[in-house]
Amino acid sequence: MNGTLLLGWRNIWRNRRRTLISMSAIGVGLFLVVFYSGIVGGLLGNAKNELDNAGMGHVEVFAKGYRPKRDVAATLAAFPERAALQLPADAELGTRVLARGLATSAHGSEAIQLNGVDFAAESLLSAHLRQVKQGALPVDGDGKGVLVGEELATRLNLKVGGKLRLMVQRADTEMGADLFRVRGVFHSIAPSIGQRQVYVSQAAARELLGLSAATHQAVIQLSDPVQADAVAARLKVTLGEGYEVLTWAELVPVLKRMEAFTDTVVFFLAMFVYLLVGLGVLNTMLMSVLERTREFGVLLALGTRPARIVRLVIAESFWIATLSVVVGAAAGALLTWHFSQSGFHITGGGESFQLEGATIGTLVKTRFNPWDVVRAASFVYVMALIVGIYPATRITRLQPAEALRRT
Amino acid sequence: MLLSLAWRNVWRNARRSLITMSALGVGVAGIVSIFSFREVANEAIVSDVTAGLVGHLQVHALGYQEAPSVGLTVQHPLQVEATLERVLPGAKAERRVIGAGLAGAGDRSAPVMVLGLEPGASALYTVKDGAGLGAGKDVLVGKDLATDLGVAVGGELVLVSQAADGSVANDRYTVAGTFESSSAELDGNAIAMSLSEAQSFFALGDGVHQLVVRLPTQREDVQPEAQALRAALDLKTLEAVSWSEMLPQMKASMEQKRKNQGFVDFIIFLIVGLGVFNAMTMAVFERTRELGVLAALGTRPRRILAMVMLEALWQGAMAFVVGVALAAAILYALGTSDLSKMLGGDVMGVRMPTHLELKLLPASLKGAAITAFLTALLGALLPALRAMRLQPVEALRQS
Amino acid sequence: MVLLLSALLAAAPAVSDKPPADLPACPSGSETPDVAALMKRTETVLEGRSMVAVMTMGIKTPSYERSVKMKLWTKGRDFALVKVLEGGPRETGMMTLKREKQLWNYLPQAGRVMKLPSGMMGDSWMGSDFTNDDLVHGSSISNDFTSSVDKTVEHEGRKAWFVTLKPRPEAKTVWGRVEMLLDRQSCIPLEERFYDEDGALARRMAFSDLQKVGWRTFPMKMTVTPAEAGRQTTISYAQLELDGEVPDDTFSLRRLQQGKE
Repeated sequence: MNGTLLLGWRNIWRNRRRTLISMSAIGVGLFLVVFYSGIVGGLLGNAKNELDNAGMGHVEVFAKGYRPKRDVAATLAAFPERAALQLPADAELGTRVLARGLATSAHGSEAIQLNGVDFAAESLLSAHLRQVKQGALPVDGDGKGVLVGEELATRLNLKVGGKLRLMVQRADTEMGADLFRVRGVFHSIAPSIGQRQVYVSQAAARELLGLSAATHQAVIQLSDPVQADAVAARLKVTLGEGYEVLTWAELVPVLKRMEAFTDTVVFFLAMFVYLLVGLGVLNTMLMSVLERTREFGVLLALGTRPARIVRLVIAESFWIATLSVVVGAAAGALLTWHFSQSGFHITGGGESFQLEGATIGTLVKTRFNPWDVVRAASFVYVMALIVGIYPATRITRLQPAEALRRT
Repeated sequence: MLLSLAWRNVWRNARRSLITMSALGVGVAGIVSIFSFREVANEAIVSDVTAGLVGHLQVHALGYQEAPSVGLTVQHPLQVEATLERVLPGAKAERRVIGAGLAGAGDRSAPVMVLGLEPGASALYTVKDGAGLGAGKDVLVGKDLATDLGVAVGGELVLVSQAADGSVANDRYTVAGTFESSSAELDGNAIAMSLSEAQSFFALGDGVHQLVVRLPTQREDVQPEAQALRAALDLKTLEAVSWSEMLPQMKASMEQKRKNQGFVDFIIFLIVGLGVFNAMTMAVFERTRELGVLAALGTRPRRILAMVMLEALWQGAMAFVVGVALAAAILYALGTSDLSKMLGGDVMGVRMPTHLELKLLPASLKGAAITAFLTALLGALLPALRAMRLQPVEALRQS
Repeated sequence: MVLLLSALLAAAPAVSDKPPADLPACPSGSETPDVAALMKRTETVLEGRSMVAVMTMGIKTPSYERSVKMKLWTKGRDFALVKVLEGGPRETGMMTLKREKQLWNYLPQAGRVMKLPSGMMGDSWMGSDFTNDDLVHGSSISNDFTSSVDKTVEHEGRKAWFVTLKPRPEAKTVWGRVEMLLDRQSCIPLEERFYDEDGALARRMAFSDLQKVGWRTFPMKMTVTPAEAGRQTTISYAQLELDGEVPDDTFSLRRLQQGKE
């Protein structure tokens, strides 16, 4: 067989032009399929980004009775430690103390949503906490530091180091107020987040609200959204009564629906592209074999055994398929990887748009997943080989005389 | 003569031609159905927007679009309506009051949007529980807001706000019903009352905040109408704004989808074009000898070029017909199925349609035709040029 | 028990027309008076133990101008009730009750009481340049600021100390600095200017029409001018009774719910 492979290799370069045409048809097709899957994967994988952009979780836990009226007295009083929650190892968990209230500076006041957070955990959950444009995140144990968004800072004319008075309705229905210093100003792709969300340490939020040691919300982000239902089911069992465990599909149904929609559209488009590429490969391989009917006729007439010709043709198909798949996959993977780093914008205008409370970023990064490349490459490879074998088998039925007659 | 020659050539290697044509046909079908699907969906969204809260155009007091305020009203709206109906025949105007306030029921309260609507049925909402909107102190409450406030039909609702004259607007209303709309924003925040009640609540006299104009057109672009209206209005006190100016993101996303189509078209063009190029190269290869004979007999090179190109064009034409038929079948199959699972939901305040009357749009044929013929032509160009340049002697020596 | 107590209180000698014994005198002659004593005097004179007043609030904005006549009861810093005597047709009879840090409104047209949610605290009170929050959170000069008398200036024909107030680090005030012009003759402020931390003027309050009310001199007119152009709110007192007895019942939520003052 080794000899046949070598002969095949030499054969394909005998007609360089035809070989290059065949290879480009397969290679370019594969390149497009790989890049296309990367874009699609990026769009699908975005759900996690969307949650991250808005600081939402794949699974969120509240005390029963908190959500309907945002009752600050309904706290996750005895929320267990992480170890007891049986979360996947790479899941991100954070808890928040929440309150609606008012922020006042010398230049006015704005209604806000107060978040008492552990800044280290929260910066994994909320993309905007990783986008501090001025100043820095308040440090651990900073009881008077506050992090605000650019929009709120503009409206209230706040600067790093400036004063901000926060007032909330306490658990005992009294008003609680305290003065904070702006430590940092964050940027969110969603203006509504920058305008409303205000972050202080958990201890400071508890003091303001008159709570002892509790939080209102636990947020869990997962590396694989598919786990959400299983994690939620397990949490429901672990936590028992008194807790409300919700998945992202329940919290932001639109994201789930959008994913289903994108999935469907993408599936059909992928089928379509695969179909086109498949037809292209079929055409190319058929051409390169059938065109040589006469040549095979000569070989047959010279007494070459049909099996040997078949082997030779298969060897040629093998080389053409292998070379073009390697080059096409490499080029596709390179481009996909490039855009997985830098990303590109899908709509003109802003950085994000709002969807029923979800924040959709317009910057799409392609997903570079080696398996996507391997899958597309295998499809094209198998396709090219099968199509290469089919005409080869016809050779065995070829009559030398007839083959020679054909041109 | 040349045409029929090219036609015969198409069938000399029927298998190859069929494969080439099927690739071209699938490409055409893809372009046509994606285009039609997108445009039908866009049309559905536009008709939702224009039939709903936004309308085709709106007339406001100058500066309202930029910074809405309860005191910025269109005075004597009926006169403006008359002007409007004169300038834009067939247009319908709806007067609307929109204000913000605090609604309370029992010990619960919530910030709300107060809508004052003309009497009669409204395209904005459908009544879920209870009766429709009457006059006087009856209000309809968005279904999610009703849950938040814990009010039911027959319940009582207190509203407080600041009126246009700076005074404290406050009153007590009866919940006549709850409503469901095409927007989550309205369902969760809005209270609807009669226009006259809202005008008196906010102390507006006969003023309104918006005159919502609906045009007798399905067109997406209503800038000409907006221009005509602006020419007839007193622009020192009024402004006219089109839906695409009010929802620039939605307009931008529609435009972007059109641009994306260009990208898809290009990929199709590349893949299919490569196939055509390949097939025609082979065809020319096979006929090198024959083409050499033709050249030797004195056939002009341009004729040979035309013959090869025409062969590709025949394939393009057939693929176009088959592709369009395929697209029609795909659209018909999709158009009769329920899309609610895939499409339901609210995009930028507008509910996505759950059912699309999918049909093949004639406008889609243009792009598909151009792609099909360009693909065929460009794919065949190099092989055809090669055929044209064949030297008779060399060609005869070959094969 | 409660009844007995209030009966005792009512029987106690009523309004005294003399200043409290520990009230420092107004050091009119001093160029550099003792600031602590000066501030204490000013605060005591302006605040009083209680107040019953009839006042008119005039509001000017770029889009409207109006005035509202109100009656006001206060007791200390924590309790206040305002009733609209004459205002817009639906406002007359409206009452705002302050109990410690919370506000309730009695809405006459609706005949209902509504508690103000915290998010609405920043909204304008009755369309004026006061926010609901201003009613709830007054700041105390002596507790929140350190003050210094810088010089004497001439202000609208009167000699006044120019006092600079700097917030104490722990004070819950948003201002960066407050300037006060204090009338040397009466120890009553003539003007207060509120600056942010960058030194930009955010709000100006002017006091005028100084009149003798009982033992003290009191500014009967107060004008607030925010930085925003075209806006102004003026409060002028028509009747004023200070340090009188105001029954606790005045500030009862139950009475408010019944629509009684």
